[in-house]
Amino acid sequence: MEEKALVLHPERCTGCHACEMICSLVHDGECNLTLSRIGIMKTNGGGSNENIPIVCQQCHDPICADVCVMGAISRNEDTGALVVKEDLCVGCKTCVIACPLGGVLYHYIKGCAMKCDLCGGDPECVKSCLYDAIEFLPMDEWGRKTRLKGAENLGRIFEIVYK
Amino acid sequence: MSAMKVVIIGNGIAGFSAASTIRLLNNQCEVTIIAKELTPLYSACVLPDYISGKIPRKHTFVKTDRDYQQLGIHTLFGHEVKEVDPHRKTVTLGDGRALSFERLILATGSGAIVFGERKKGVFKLKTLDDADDILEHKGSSAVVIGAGAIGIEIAIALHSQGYKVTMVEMMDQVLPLGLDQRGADKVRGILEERGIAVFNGERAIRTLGGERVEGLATDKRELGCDTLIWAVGMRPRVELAREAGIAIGETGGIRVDAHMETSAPGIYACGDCVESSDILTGESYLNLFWHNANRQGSVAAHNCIGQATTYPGSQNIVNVDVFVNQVAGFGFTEEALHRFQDIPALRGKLADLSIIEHEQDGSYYRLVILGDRCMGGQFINVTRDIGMLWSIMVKGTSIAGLLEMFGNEALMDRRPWLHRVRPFFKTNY
Repeated sequence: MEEKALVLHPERCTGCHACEMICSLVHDGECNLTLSRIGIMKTNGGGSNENIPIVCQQCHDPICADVCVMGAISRNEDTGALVVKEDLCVGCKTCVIACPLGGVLYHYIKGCAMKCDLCGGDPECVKSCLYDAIEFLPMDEWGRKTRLKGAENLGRIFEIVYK
Repeated sequence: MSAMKVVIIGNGIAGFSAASTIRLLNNQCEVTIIAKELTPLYSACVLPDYISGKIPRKHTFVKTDRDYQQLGIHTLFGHEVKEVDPHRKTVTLGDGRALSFERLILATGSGAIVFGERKKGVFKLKTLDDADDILEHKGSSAVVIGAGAIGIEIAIALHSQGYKVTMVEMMDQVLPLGLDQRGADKVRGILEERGIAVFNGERAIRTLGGERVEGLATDKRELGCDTLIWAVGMRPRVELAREAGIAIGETGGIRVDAHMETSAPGIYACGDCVESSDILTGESYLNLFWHNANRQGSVAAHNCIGQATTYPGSQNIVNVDVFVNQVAGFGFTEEALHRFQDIPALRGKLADLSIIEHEQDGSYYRLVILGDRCMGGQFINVTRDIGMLWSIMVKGTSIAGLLEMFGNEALMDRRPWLHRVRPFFKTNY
């Protein structure tokens, strides 16, 4: 299957928490921000953007799977998502500690690790976002879009310089 | 090309990781795992959870016998290896059978250090059998010798089973490898609050009692108990390698190069039985952690079948749940930096040591910074942002570079995850 990734655009995020609501709803049957796999971080710095969506990036060389003493985190070959096997997880939280992004969280009701599983290949958070701050794109298209953005910026510079 | 014969000794995570990696890369090789224990791969790290009753016995297993079959790995469980002959390339089993190999992977692991007599009621905790023995014993008062991560986990597990628990630690603090004094005192406070007595700076001298253990004599007092648990550390099991003439390092582990190859060509070693280079200093130490063993097994497997791969170096992370307080540490402690101040990577640099420390509402952190690099961190009840700091340490990002990024909002917008660690450096920018 084509490899796809969740692409986050902090500059578009308004911090409405809709993605968090839908995430906890589809996974746990309740709208509960503490059970959401995706999280909006509100920073209080003086930056231009204060809402930053954070979600597991499904790393190629995942440290969470590396440190798991039960081998409970493995990749689903169909979706490419790293998935926690809840029956194996003992809830030691080492993966929560080890992930640099904060992509793995602790499910305080089930007592095990929880993380984004890409909803089995059709992420609900993407559909719930009204501002396109989360996109689910094939890897190569992601690269293309990034380049396009760079080209747009260049174009703007040319406009300023030559007109 | 005929199928290559690979023999792996040891069925811990290193051995299994090596076997499954070989299978992933090449389905022609003939892979055989020889192990003394009869069980498929289980996790020794969760045995305290099994003792405390948090998880059932079957939950300690990571793999089942079927997984080995599906991967096409031959298993010789219940067999002890008597001899390895690196020249004739054979392995001799306890029953006299000889196996030939083209590549051998030693993953013999480590064994718990136990001093003195093995009286009834004296235990260690390294294997599933050890855990079964402790559960079968059903005592009422226990002394745990050693207050490292394993010692603390066992003490808490036994405490939850209704034991009266006392801990004896030779060093002046608990968790001597993970925390500095201040954090350790807090952990000790938590333990004592829950009724686990901790005696620091006391050396165990001898066990009391006849056939059964009745107590422990330290250099300061006598402690009565019916259960005595040794948790003073692990020692690499290198007898096979030593007898085969394979070089052993100064720290007591098998010496390997960056490809996990031993001094004998075609023989690799990985896991708790080797000494591996530290990712920060490049020095060889014993880094007996699950994730290092896992990675080493995979590196050994790659090189074993001819795909050159180098081991990036070992990293340490300690993570203990002390009565719902998450205690974690990585890298060097301040005390360890002083202890290792003469190694080349640290020589003369200790003058630049600085500490960032913060305590608030039961949470605590301490970052050890040497010159311009983060060298370690210790955390109590802080969980979510440790990984970022860990990767900053491993990557060797300079603190000046970090502070510059924190000050530049345009850069921070492109690296949103750095917002998470900014508060840790608040005092400095």
